Amino acid sequence: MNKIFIRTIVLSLLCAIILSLTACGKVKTAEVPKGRYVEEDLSSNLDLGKDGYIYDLVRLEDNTLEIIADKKDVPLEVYISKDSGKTWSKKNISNSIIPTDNKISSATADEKGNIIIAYGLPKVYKGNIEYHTFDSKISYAKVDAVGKSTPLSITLPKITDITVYNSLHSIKVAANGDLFGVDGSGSVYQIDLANGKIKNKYTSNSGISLYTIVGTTLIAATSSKMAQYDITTGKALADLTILKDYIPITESGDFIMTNGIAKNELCFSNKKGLYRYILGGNLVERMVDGSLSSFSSLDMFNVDVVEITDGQYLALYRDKENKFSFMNYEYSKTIASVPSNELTVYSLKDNATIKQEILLFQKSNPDIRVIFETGLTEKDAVTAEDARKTLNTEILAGKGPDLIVLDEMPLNSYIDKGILADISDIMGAYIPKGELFENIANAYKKNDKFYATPLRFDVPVMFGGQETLNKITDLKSFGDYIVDFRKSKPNATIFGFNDGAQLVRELFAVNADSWINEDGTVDKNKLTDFISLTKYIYKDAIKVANPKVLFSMQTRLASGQSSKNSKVKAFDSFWPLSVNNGTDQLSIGSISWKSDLMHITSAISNKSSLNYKMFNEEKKYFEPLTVVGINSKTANVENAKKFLTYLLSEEGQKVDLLGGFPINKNVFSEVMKAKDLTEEIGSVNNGIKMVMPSEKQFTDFTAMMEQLKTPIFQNSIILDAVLEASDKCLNDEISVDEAVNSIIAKINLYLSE
Amino acid sequence: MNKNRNWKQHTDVLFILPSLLGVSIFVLIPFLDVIKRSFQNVTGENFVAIKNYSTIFHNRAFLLASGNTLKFIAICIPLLILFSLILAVVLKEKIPGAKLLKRVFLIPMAIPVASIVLLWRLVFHEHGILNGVLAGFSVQGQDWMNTNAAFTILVGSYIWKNIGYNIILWLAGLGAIPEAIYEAARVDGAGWWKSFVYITLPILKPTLYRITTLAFLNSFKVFREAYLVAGSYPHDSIYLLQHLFNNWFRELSLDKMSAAAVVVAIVIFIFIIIMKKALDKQEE
Amino acid sequence: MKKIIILVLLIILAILICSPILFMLGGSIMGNSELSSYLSPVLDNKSGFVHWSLIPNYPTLRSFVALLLDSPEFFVMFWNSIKMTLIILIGQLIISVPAAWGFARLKIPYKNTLFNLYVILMLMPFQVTMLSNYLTLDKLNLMNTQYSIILPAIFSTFPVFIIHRFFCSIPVSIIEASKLDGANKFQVFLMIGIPLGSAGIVSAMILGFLESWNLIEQPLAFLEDKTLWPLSLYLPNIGLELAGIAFAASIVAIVPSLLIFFGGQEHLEAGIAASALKE
Repeated sequence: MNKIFIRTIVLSLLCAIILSLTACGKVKTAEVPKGRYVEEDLSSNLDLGKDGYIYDLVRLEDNTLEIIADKKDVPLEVYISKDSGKTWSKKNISNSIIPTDNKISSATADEKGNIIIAYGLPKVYKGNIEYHTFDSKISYAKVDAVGKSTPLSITLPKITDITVYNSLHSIKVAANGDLFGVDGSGSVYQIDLANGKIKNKYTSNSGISLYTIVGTTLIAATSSKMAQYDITTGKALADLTILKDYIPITESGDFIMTNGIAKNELCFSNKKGLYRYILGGNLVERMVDGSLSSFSSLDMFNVDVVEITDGQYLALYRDKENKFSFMNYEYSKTIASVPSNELTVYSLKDNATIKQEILLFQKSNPDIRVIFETGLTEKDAVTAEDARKTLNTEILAGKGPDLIVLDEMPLNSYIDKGILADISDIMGAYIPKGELFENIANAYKKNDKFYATPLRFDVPVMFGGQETLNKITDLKSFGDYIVDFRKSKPNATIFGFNDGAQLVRELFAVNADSWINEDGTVDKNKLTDFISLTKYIYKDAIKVANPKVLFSMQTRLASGQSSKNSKVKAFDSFWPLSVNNGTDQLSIGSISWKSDLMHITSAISNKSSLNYKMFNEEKKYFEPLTVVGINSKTANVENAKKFLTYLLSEEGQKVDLLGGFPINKNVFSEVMKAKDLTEEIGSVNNGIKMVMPSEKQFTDFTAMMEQLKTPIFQNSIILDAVLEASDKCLNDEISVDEAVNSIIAKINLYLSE
Repeated sequence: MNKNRNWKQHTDVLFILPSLLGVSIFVLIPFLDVIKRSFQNVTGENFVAIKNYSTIFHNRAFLLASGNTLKFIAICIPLLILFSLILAVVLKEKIPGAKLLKRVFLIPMAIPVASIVLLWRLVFHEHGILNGVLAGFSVQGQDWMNTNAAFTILVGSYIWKNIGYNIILWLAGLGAIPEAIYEAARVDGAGWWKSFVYITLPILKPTLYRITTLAFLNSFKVFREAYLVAGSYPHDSIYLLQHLFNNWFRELSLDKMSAAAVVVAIVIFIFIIIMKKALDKQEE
Repeated sequence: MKKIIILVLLIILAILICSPILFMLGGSIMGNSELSSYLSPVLDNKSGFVHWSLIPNYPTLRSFVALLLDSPEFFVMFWNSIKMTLIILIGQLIISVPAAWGFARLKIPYKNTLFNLYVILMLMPFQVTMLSNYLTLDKLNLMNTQYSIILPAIFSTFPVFIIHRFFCSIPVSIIEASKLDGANKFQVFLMIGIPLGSAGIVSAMILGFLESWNLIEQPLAFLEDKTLWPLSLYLPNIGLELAGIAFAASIVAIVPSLLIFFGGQEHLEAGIAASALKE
């Protein structure tokens, strides 16, 4: 037994030696060739208007590009381009075959320019942009190169139990002239265009979501694999396991497949870039790096790609406003394959605005590659604490990021310890010209120097009747107001909130600095007041809450998850309209989009007794969003400053994916003046007609923004302690005194370190 | 001849050289760096003499954490040693199945920390199993990890984990005592208790040095449990030095951290020396 | 009679000591609905208390299937752990055995001082030297590679401390005898030291295994790339919401430890024992 055991150990040790020689450490990547693909926005002349849509983009055999599209009230339009997508001209074709009220559901063209369309009566959904679904009968037709149209009769077998009509979408014509399309059950059909007969049917048990035809091979993506079929025989071939990892598990919208020019070339794209794969090979080439191009963009989606000439690609993008744009990708030998300068941006949590800024910045600075790192990802539960520690170690070793997003980071400690570089020069370039909200920027001034600045901000306000607002000046008077109000209306709701934690978070943000003394100790009496008033307000709201929302309001904090789940924003957007109709007396939240302001002013126009005000007229709180600073130990100061300058510039400040107002005043007034929100203006919501704020209302609001001076209280450790104890206190598990004692014990420990 | 002896001594050094080199690179030199930093300010630019040391001795968190750590060591090591000695003595009394029992006692050592933490959460939570059991006896439960009971739980968990190991250490010590000595004592009319106090204990004294050192080493490891279960700011009673080091690091207070590390090293050094002097005189 | 009472008491104690394993084993073969009904007081902060039953109503291997088949990251981490642990053990073997022999049996200047230094370094909590360690590893370009965990662990002074005791307990007469037979000191080390100290070496390896199998702080601090993480970081990363998987992962993580433990039990016991003895 013992001998065997020792032998086993010796043997496994030997195995390990072999393992250690082959594995461990980082995998070395092969050297990248010189040169790289460069993206060029063609800013083409194609304008389909807001309700237009492009159904397909194809390259014809004579290298002309053709687009099959529609426009408001025009069911079919075809454009061609002879100059690789720069200019587009309309092609004269008849669209009379499509009955009025019908719309195209899917369209394509073959190499010769013959167009195949599928159309039917749509169900229209009006939102910010219009979109349709089809659940009626779909007809098919062919429109040939000279514009003559002939109906096609294609009959698909019904899918049992699902719909009455089955139809093809994502149609394509293969080189052999057959029509392909996916039906409602996720099967691909191969149809002989001459007689409309089904030649072959391809199914995969998890359903085909996307396909393309390369030569005589049908390549079909399902949620879990890439299947291959031979379209001459209709037989399945071996799965393309090499491509499995490229299929995004989430939305199929992030994945595009198409055939290249060569007979056996497959092109595909995802958020990480554009790839090429030669069938039968064992190499997947990344042609275009997503992080250096619009493939990774968050406000544009890649919808189609064509290879125009060998190795030159044209990608079609659509943004959230349904605007289409073309990007050309051409290989440049002169540009270094990897930008010579690297800049790292760190954020504890994902930040869509910063990611978009990075993309735009890189476009105008092709020699700088910006890498975005996040400390926390949704998938694994590294605590914020661990992430901060890892960042600190890197910073101290001089390996830290160049630019740091300081939301939920120990900002003051970083400034005190010299981690953040002095950025007074950058701020100095903007502030004297009056280009920034100086009052916001100055809130981050320390010893006459700037070390960090928020890029955006919003403002927490209360909204309600002027009389009510006059009565509420702080938490204490809020409590008094409730007592008073209850005397006359015992059952009316006063205001709403999502859940207890949200209420605590909001009240904490604008009150915590009143119970933390200058010397870093906690004022026990004031904290007791804070907790007991918060509890009183909560209990009162629960007592009269509408049963429909009661459950949500009583949701408890998940155990041990407070810091991981804490939101970036303390305040939720709010809904002043329920105050207008008298359901609520008050609404609490932050104004962080122009539409928030519009809701408020529309309600005020409707009922002039309503108004809004800041939480504390002395402190004038604002909520900073995306606070950034530069690592003082970085060797890359120049580029980091360049990026920060860009972030504060008019161009950079226009990017807005998370809300909040720009700190750049010029952009702020531009946003205010813009004639947008057209969808909402004029509509009636909760009995209020939405109107654009008046000139005076804009001026008043801007004046208010110019007065803001104190950032809301942000300290994740103190907040965690308060959230945890108040969760128990609000639910009567512990008394107010116990809650206060537990908070004080933790905070004093923290503050005494 | 002389030359030969020199050569021999050089080759002697060869045995420990690789280890010494590695230890120097990965442990010793980094530690010297800590000592250097303890006399500098945060950024490592200025010499501040003993300012960091005076800061930490006025720092409430440091005093609390070191107090707790010392208290923990002072309570759990004697308890562990006592319990394991009792069990070892019992097991030595030719109990059937003693061998199997010994193995069973060792099992807790193999359980990963994270699994233990998972159980803690279920057992000691406000709505956890322990309170459920107590409620069955109409006893009002509490949120155990947020009371002084947390300290007891930590001590209990430490003893639970290490007792098997220590039993074997004691059994070895006991096994080495020749039976003849007891025989002689019995002839002299000494009872079991007398021979235990006058014969067994003195012989076990050197064993105690090793047991204590290893128990000490393992006592630092309970931090993992405390941290994984209660985070950076647990209940005051289980706020240990490692918590403080962690938090200082998060706030980048390297000055205080280095000074405290040096103090800890000095305390450990003194402890080892005293232990060695008191218990291990005959060794080497 | 007295012996029976003692035995019963000991058995009760043993069951108590082992109950966590039984608890986890039960949880790992419990269905999700059963688990969440037991755990809901803790999970959703509902009133009432967690119940538990050691034997599930409807035993199922679903959690194991989910863990072993549908969690590729679990596999990656499992192999990372195996790989790192094995390399660490080999390294410790190569480095610490001769060192322990040196400290125990050879004439080395300042030997005692050095050995005391080793003991002190062994007792240093990780947090104390974390930053300096980071700086060193960074200079050696080892950050974010598994060597940043492996190399410092190989040079841990703990196995030296354990094995040293063994070599000290080898009777001087045996060594003298072999020297008389003409063996040089390397031969003595290989022919006498290693075989007679093998129990100690194995026991140091087993303890080393447990230590490296459970590393938490070091990989968290030094490995950024999560694909390099060891198994010990898998568990802290899953919440109670996935309790079934958590229990199954605990069981899978314990298995190698128990195998090594019971396989090497005799050596371990002898090893632990000898380390307590005087020569």
